[in-house]
Amino acid sequence: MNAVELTDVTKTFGSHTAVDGLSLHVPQGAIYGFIGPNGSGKTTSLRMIMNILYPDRGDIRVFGRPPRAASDRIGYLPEERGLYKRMRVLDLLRFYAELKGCRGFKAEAQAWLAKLGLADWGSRKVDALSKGMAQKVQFIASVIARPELVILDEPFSGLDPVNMEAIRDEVLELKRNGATILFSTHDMDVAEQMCDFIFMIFQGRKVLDGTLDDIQRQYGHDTLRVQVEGMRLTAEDLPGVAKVTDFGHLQELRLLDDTDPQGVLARLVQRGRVRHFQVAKPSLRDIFVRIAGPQAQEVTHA
Amino acid sequence: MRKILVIAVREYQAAVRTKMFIITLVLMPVLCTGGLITHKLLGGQVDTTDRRVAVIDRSGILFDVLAKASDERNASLKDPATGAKTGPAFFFDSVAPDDADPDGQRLALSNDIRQGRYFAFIEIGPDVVEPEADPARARIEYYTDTPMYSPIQKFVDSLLNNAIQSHRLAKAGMDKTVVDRATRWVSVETLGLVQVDAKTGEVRGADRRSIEAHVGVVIFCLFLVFMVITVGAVPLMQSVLEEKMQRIAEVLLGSVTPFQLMAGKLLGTVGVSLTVLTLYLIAGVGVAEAVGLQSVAARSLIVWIIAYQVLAILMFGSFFSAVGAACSDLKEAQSAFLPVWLIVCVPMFMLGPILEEPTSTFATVVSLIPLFTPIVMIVRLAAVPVIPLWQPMLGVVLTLAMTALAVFASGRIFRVGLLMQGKGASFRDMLRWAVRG
Repeated sequence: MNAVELTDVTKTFGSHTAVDGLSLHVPQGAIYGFIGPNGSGKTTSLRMIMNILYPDRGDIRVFGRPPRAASDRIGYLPEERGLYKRMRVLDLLRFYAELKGCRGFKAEAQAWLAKLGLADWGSRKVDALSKGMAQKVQFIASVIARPELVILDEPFSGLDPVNMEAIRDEVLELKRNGATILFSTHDMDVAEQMCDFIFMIFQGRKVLDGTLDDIQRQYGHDTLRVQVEGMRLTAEDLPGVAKVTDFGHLQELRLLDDTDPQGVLARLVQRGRVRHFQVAKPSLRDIFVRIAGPQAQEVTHA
Repeated sequence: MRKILVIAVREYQAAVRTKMFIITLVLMPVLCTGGLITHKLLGGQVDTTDRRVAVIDRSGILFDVLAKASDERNASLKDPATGAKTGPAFFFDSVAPDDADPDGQRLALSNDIRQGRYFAFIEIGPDVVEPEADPARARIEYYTDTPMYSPIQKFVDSLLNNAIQSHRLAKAGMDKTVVDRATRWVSVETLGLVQVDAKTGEVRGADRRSIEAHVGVVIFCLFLVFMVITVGAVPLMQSVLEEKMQRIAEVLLGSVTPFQLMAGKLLGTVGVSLTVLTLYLIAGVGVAEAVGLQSVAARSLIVWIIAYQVLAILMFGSFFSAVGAACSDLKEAQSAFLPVWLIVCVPMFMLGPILEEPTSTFATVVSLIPLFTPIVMIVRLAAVPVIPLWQPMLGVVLTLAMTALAVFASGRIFRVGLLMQGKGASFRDMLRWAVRG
């Protein structure tokens, strides 16, 4: 059984269609990454799975049941953090645990606080916490009731690398314990590293859905990373190259469909001393920009 | 139901555990009775600065009366125990009338007052003693820069009129003591009804005190209603607004339906207001027992107060939470709050006629309009005469119906408004959400 199933789901706000005919299957026990530019319908989709918003059309199932019936089995971390400022941390965690019908939360809460380095903060009020700490408390609040499906909207935004790793490790631990994780992110590296499946939504429609390998295969082995001493490369100089992205030390070349990388290498060797040459899969970032970048948008709006 | 309770408990604790709650609880009675207490406290703290008054006496006979009476008064101003002065002494100086330039004299005396040499000046017309005199020549004028200070004016007013009467009576050949006896005023006293004492079977007369006590009970009940709405329903708006602004609502709505959330919050608020009500009722009944007035208010009044307060909290609370959900910041909420608060206050403007005649058609009709019922019906129940039982009962039924409607409509506004960010909703938007859902 899939943890989440969306069938042809549409949601409009006034004249604006936020989500348009979306279908999606999230297998149990997977980490499913939602990517997409701002305002493309990520949060609306997540809110519909949470039953905070109701779809205008289509069907949503969570563990085979309507979302409302499954709400106690879902943990949710919203994009913008929501904590009662004047509550003590432990009281707050108890409140969220009880809301999901979870008993015996105390040991669990203490363990979570200790794991995330907040052991001494249980009896402090939320408004005494730093931003990073509050974010960790919010994370604990979303998983305190041992949910089977964890929905995280931008869980890493605004966290420093140390805290980010701590949360990431806990997310992976949840997965090992059998939970299904659904999270949205703007960080393509995180998505590449963590997700079993990646799903991209753009202007309310699904544009990518599958494993990273599937997606990269779909976009071909058409990227070269090169470093040529003492020269700047441009697409005009190199037949068969569609685009050159300059990263300073490295340049990334996107090839036209039937270009042979060996041919490009031969040309580069003629031009100068090649220090680095790699045939790479396109990065998720590159694929994202190809779909949602300014040039792509011009095409879609034309 | 479990989730509603979890939310209710949190709402209750969040409200009751704040310092603000305790401060309000203590301060409200102080504020309401503040005027009384200040008066009591300042009762002994009178200004004892002496007042000097110039008198132009054209009648030629009244100044001596003033001088004599003020001497007696000034001599009696000593506290017999401490010897301290208990009030300001009044000194009257006779000023010869300047008939050549009366306006010039008035200006000169006015300037004296401005410069602090005198507190006031009095001009007594030449014919004040004559019963059939020309009104222009029979006036007594009191000129002052501090017209709100009345003791001198009152002192002079009663003193001179007594003296004038005596002169007129003497002129007519009548004895003042005979006239006084003949014209003694008899006031009409207001009393409650006589009843049979349930225990002894004796006929018990009503005393004057019970009337005043009834007014006390009515004022106490009014105070209770306002207190309960202030500490209950108004913070509900702020708490909904906090949940919306801090994006807590989003997390909560992932676990509960908007209806459960609102129901839980209302239930918690009912708990808060019942706490307040219980505390004040215990205090109120305690005071009544202590001063022996427990018989004034029927015990059933307490049951009615509780019933109507619960309904008032549910009804107004749902309005206030809808306002909180529809607004996007505190400033907006404050201006949207006012119209709803006005609904709470409207009955206050109608209290006069209602108290005067609690059983009139007007009072009955107003008390059966659900928005006003919680306040007006309690006032009518507390006042005398006793109103028929069907009225408060019908009031409960109508208010209950209105409350159900209010919770339903506000629930819809709540659901739509809670997730809306950015611009707040207009009243038209709110109406549309309430009707269409």
